[in-house]
Amino acid sequence: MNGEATDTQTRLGPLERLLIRECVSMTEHALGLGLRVPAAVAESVNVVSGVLNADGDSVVVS
Amino acid sequence: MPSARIEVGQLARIHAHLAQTIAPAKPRTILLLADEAQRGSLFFFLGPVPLVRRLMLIAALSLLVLFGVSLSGMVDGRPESFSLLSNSSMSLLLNELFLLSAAAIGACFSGLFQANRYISAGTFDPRQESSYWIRFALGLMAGVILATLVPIESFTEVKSGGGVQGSLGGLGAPALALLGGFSAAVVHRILYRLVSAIESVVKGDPHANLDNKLESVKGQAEQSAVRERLVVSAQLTRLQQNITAGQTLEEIGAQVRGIQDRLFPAVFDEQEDGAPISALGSNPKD
Repeated sequence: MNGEATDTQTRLGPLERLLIRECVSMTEHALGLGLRVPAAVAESVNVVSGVLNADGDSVVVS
Repeated sequence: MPSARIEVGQLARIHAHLAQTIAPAKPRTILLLADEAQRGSLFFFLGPVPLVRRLMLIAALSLLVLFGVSLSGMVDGRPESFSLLSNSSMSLLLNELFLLSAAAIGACFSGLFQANRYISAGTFDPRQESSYWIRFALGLMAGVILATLVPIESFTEVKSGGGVQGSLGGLGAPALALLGGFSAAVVHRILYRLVSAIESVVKGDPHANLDNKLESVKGQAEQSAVRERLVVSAQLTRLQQNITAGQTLEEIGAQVRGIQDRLFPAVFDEQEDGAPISALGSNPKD
């Protein structure tokens, strides 16, 4: 991870942030085109994007 | 602070799956397009990415210059007006500006066309932006070169009153500039062919060159034959010495076979395999 480590959580680094942002935009693009996105994938992306949008500094536990 | 429990490995797998779903579009391009749309730039209506917006602005500016300059009476479409040698001062400047703006429109058109294709497919890479500007600069140069090099005046006729008539109506040079701007590669090929043609003139007669090569090959073949004869001669001398020294019949026979192998290798190879000796003296592979 590229971020600053804490006891149980890892703050997002630039790479993880980019990964999440790309996942979000790809999901929106795919859904916009009517492509099939598995519900589990869409749900996971929705969760991380919700956190990312809340404070822009989401936390991922690896 | 809000948090979400998700493994990085799982995130990478999701990313890979989504990338496969939207292929051939690239994740980076999709993110760029989404970011640009979210940013809500004032000039967003000109294009979805900054490169397209800049090219659109330059194209509009070039179009304005083209129309603005053409309003001047000095830009009359006469072939000598575009000539660097026949024209001068402000008149030449305006005419060259006219050609340059035409080339810029062609170069912008080409760049926009290509960028639009990549954006539509979702494969546009902003890291390649510099190559678009290089092609734009090449297009400007190519347009001016093409308009200056091609003797377009032979297709136009100057009226007695001073105007221009003919199939191109005085727009031959700007049209060539536009074409050159659109395809710098074509102008590059034309220049390359011209250089090749000039080079062939300088290189001289191709038949003479061919004759020289033939003579060289013949000389090499003769030298090789002389070398072979010398080797065979040396072997025969050694054989004669061995006979005088009283070697056995088998040893002499082996040496004779060695000399024959050197003279006709293919024939004697076949003979060893049990092929008939009738092929001796002719090419066995015929």
